[in-house]
Amino acid sequence: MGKRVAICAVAQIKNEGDLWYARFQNMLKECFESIMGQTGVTFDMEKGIRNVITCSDDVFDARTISDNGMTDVVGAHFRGEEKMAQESINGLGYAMACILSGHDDVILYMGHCKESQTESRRMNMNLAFDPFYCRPLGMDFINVNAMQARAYMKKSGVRDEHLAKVVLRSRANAKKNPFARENAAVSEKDVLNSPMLADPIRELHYYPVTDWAYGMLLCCEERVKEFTDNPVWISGYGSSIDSYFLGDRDLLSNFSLKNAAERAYKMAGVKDPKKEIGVFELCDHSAYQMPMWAEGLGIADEGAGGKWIDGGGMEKFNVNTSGGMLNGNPLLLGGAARAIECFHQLSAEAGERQVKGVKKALAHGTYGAAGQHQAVVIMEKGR
Amino acid sequence: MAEYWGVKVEDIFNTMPERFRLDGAKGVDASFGYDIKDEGKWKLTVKNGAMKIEKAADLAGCVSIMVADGETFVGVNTGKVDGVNAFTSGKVKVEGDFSAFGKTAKMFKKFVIGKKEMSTKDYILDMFGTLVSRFQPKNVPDLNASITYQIGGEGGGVWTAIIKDNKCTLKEGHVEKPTVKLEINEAKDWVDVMLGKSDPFSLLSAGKAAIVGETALAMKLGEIFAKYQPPKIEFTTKDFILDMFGTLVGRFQPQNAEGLDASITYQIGGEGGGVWTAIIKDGKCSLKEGHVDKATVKLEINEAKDWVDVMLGKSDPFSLLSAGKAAIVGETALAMKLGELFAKYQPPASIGGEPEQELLVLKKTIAVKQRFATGPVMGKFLNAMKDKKLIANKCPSCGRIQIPPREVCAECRVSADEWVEVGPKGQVRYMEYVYYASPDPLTGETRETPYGMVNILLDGCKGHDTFAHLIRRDQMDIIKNGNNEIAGTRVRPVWNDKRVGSVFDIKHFEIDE
Repeated sequence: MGKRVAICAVAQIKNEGDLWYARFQNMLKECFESIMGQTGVTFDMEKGIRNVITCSDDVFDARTISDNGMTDVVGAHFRGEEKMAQESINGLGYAMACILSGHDDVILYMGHCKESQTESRRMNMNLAFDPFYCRPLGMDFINVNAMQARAYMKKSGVRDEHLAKVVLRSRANAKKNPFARENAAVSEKDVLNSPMLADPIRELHYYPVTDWAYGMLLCCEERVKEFTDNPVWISGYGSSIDSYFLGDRDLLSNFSLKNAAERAYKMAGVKDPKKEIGVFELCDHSAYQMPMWAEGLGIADEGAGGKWIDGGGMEKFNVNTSGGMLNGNPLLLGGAARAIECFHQLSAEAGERQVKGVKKALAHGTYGAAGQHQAVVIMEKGR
Repeated sequence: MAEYWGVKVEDIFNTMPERFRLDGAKGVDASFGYDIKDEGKWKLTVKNGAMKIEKAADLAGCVSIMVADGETFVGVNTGKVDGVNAFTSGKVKVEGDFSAFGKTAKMFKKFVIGKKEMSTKDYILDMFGTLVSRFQPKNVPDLNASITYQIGGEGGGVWTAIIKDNKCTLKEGHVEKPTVKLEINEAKDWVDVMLGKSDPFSLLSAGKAAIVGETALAMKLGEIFAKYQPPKIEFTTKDFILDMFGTLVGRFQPQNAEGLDASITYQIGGEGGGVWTAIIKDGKCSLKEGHVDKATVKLEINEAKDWVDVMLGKSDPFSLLSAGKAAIVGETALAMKLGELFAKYQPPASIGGEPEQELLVLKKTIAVKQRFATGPVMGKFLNAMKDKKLIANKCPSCGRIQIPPREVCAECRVSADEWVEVGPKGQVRYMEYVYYASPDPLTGETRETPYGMVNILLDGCKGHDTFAHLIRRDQMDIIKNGNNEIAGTRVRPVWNDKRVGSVFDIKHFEIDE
């Protein structure tokens, strides 16, 4: 294996449904100060942070070049500041590339999204589509995902009851996560009777509107001891984007995810993910994606998502101990939230939800309609 | 007022201003009269490249007067009636200066019949109006027969086609003992049949039509007469050629013809063809019909329709040349420059013109309502404005003052949590004039311009800790910018009576005297 990149520290605020009392600058500042406190890193141009990567979205921030609103609170002035306008997990890949290239030793990586700011999250999602054809048809991620969900559930024997199980388990795990969004307790009956957004996706099958921000400090292997005694390593990264137009894609193939996973496994030297990886954090925007992504990552058999849930696959492979995206992280930030949970698990700091003896963990992120873009990060415990 | 082919006489006159062609009116200073039988009189006055058309009681002072009946007048103007025939047959007369009258022909673009829906009556009239011309004697040699169409309902009537000696004549009304009689209850049903939207057998079986007499002959009607084609609004080759040369001078690009002294002759054969020569000299272009002595270059085009295709971009001149359908005589290099000398010909938009490709533009307003949290820092600042207070925060490390305040001092990377009240008076550091205001993206409203945007160093601030706002519009011209050495104009805020915690709780700043 070549050089490794360390995550030295992570910070986050609690996922909230409506942070009405704070602007995203306030959210980020809290994370920023936490990272500074944990690591003692400076902005010295020789030894400290020379480049800050941020993740945000213009449409959700209602601001062109959304990063310009918070460069001050993330300490970015008078040095490099580069924005990741895609799924936050790609920011990890980008930070890794900055460090492995030797251009930077230390990267501060910050992200935010405030979904509550917009009156309609669905209208924002609609803007992700082209203005001539898909947008006028009213496409958004929910109703397009429903098209995939319907076909996938038929293919893989996933029923409404399975989805209810996924939701209940997500809520139960989130209860043990102090940073998770606090959602109302629901019963299986509640989920099964939850209103249909777009058949087969019910309201409770979709992640709720959430505000959140995070921070991470990454550094090269040689200097890790300056910032932490307990690093977590990024040993593999792969990402893949599928075609933009739905008509160009096989919505059932998991093509993009398989492609991303294969590259990440290869880079990390993972031969058998089922055996080698102790925690899987999947970016499940909607409940049906839990078994579907599990198939794509190779921890559930192809076309057997329903059986996988019945057979306790989610517990067996320690999937989404955090509660997952389904419990509530904002769009774009699901991947970073997954990586942060992996960090805590690998650092044995996951409290009540700690999985014993985790050596490798997988963080997954997805973005776009029906899982168009997929990325996988493999993380490992310190030496 | 009567309509002919759906067009009223006054439609022709009313559209003259929009059909007026400046090139054709050059050098014309005269009035022309139109005396249309049973319709009235109109007077056209052309002067200094402008025109006026008015209905007139008398046509005194007109250099020439056209006299015609309404149908002929509309027919000639819409291309339904051959103008030359109408003239030679006496249906159109010109009183006064005949050659002067000829100029009016070039003064107007062709009248295009509007795309209004044709009525059942229009169709029926057009069908029978074209019936004789659709007769196909070679399909029915030596047929001797009479065919009566008895059509009921609105727009209906009775017509009889009499076929004898390989000729067809049409007569309104019945004849004695027709060979076959078609009885159609409703004219609109027959129109549908003729337009191919319905078929005659359905009408017959539904009892909406009947055949009396020789049924076999009725079955052969499709052979006896060519299929009826409803009128199309189309430019003919001749129309295009005339329009192209009519617009040629207007399309001349003098900036590409500096120092050019040349004549370009277009010798166009075939239907709609003719000879025109463009004469370019001293940065000007004029057009003359016919040849000139020793044209610099002559384009010989065998068929007008080919040239129309080239001009419409459907074909290219090199294909014509290589196919021997056109030739260049004289300075070939000049012929190659024609695309620079003249702007591309655009067919009139009114005829649809079949442009090569029409790109659509989608006009949309993107609006998603937002609720921006102000947070504890910006919120505190905005709230203080309700009490006519301007509060800033101070960096505990460098002492820099930020207004509007922000969470941190970006330069020192520390929380800026010390609050100070500043101003509200101060001195202008920078002022700009805004002449073109950024519009509100949703309402499109713009503020009155010019207005002055100012950056003010409020009392208590230093260095470049300035605060932006607007200056009273009538004071813009007397504002002086200051700097660290020289003080700028002193200003004070003008507060709104009703303050809600917004940047416009201050209307603007004004000079503090």
